[in-house]
Amino acid sequence: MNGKSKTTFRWSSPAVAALLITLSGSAAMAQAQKNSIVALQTASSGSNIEIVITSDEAFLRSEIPVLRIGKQEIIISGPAEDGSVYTRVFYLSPEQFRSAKSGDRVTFQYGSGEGERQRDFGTLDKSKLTHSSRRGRP
Amino acid sequence: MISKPKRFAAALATLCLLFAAGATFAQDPGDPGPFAVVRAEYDYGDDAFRFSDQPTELRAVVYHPKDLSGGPFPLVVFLHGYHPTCYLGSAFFLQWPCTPPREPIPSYIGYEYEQEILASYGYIVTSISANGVNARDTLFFDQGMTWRAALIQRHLDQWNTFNTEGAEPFGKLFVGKVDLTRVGTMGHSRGGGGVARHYNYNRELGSPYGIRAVFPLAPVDRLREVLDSVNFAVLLPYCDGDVADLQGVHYFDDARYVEGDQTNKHYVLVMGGNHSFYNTVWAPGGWPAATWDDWLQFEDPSGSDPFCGTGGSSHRLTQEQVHGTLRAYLTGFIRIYLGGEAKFLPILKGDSPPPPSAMTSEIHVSYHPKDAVGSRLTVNSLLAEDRLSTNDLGEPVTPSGLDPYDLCGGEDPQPRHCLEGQPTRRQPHTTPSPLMMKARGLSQLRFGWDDATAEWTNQIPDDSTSDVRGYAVVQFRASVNFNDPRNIPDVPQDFSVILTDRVGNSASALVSNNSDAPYYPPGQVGAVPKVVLNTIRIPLAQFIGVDLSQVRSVRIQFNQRDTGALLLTDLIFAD
Repeated sequence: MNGKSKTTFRWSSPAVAALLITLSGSAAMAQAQKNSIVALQTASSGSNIEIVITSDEAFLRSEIPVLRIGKQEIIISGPAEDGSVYTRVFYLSPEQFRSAKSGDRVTFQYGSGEGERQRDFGTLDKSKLTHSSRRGRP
Repeated sequence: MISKPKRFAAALATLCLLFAAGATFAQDPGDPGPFAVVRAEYDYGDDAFRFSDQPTELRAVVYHPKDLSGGPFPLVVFLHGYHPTCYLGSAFFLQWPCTPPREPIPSYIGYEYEQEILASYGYIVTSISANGVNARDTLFFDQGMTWRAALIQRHLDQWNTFNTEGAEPFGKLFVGKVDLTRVGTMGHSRGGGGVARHYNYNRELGSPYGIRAVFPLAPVDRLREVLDSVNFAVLLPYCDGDVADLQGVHYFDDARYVEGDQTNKHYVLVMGGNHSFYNTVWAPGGWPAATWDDWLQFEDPSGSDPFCGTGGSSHRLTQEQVHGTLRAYLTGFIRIYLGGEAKFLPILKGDSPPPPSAMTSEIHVSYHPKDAVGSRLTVNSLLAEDRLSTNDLGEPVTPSGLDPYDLCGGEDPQPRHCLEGQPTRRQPHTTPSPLMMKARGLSQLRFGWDDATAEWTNQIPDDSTSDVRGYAVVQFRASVNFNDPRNIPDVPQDFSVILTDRVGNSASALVSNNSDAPYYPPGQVGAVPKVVLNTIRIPLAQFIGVDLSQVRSVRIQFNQRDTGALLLTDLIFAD
């Protein structure tokens, strides 16, 4: 892997850190992969919900980044504001967020294919939802 | 049974055909051409174009003939794919514009090796930058494909200005020198999806520009864009570690049977080729940051795969060889469909071996001709269940000794995939897109046999249809089903194609004398092995003693191996 960004991630403030969702089940594996959900927040504009994930494996492939929450596939995403390729922001519609349940498994993969390698981000905790001052998706 | 004299005649005919094919080596489309070439750039800034209020640069590198007096020249537009957009030292980022002191990564200059060759044959070749799109494309449901299309169109508008009024930085240089009725596009990776979307985008605008040729290179196909009415070729690197499912094969599969389509479709499977080496900026050593070998980066970090990995006996191609494959096949494709140089068609049909400029012989070419008498006579498209018993000509289809004998991969009620238990990225023809989950893949005949008497017969009507003298070959696409243990690992399949005429004369041609497409799919790690159905073409001249004006059946006899299993589709007579 070439040069990892040293730039401080915008959401790494203590307030946002409190939003970390507790990993369960495969916590050991998740820690080994250093995948985490950094924030769960409503966008400052619009009604979308943002899930911010980070990983020590950069998000680089050309295939569609897909976040699976339970059985739902979230395909709208964007980079971090600081440009870090180790962070990805996924956008859920209000309907998608309503359908998601606390305890749903959160995984990341490229594309919708079966048998694709998945990264485990633990489980969703909807009680951690907060409001963001971050500019939402266009 | 075929008599000895007939066998001798068939062998002689084969030798003559091979000699004729060999003669085409003299015509290598990838050799440097006669024009002296000039390099130039235009750059209107990082925020010169807006799509849905998103900043996008208007920047390109151009290669063109130094002497433009022979113009107007056709225009070819290249569009790179997804890649980090900014860098600082060895660190890289995804944002646009780049925050100083970060600088843009110039993915658009990664194809100059091919721009230069094409320009030397009298093409103006512009490779455009799309970092602004890459930074935010996934914020849009179509993953930025319309954005890419709009960006290409904006560049074409700019070329229209260069061609009519002139504009800086070129002044009047290109006025009257650009033929915007003859435009070709090449897009790599997400750029491949972009040029596919652009073809239809331009059409939706009333076709202000004449897009005559589209070349998606290792492309994504997220929208299942149907590219009818345009000649296209898709290049698929077998050892692609990025778009590892080779989803770009859908472009070919989806466009085969559009009624009245007068354009040809091709794909080129490059064994041992990867994804990133096609762009010099992305390949290791090509830039200070964000370079990698995608096979090793994403699929096989230890390089252990026997075919795509790094071991001494692997078949992976060097960067120079990868460039060679584009130089041969993209240049040939453009020269055929923008330049009218039909002499290169045998290369794009697979009748001629890869030219020396390709720098590898491990290439399989597939071809689907336009919908026209003399170009294509569809015997069995295998599109739906009834084709198991009745072919497209309304005649009986008879399996013998085949088990299973069913269709897979196509519309309901077919199973969605053909290889049970295998990851979808090993099954490119049926790999799904998250944006088009309901879209099914290629309908394929799935079958196997347990003794060497098995066969599959398609009857031809006893009317004018049976006169196939206007065609050059009988062809179909097939792949060894590596998921079926009746195939012996690493051993290619072989079988016979038999034509029979109205009075019962038959002649047989051995597939192995004509094609190495029924190879056992190589590889063991990650996305390989994978099934890609490659075209097998048997020249009709080999069927000595059969009256080609009255052919009554095409029989495929699985008589060369005791057991086996194949996936097969598109049985046609072709030009």
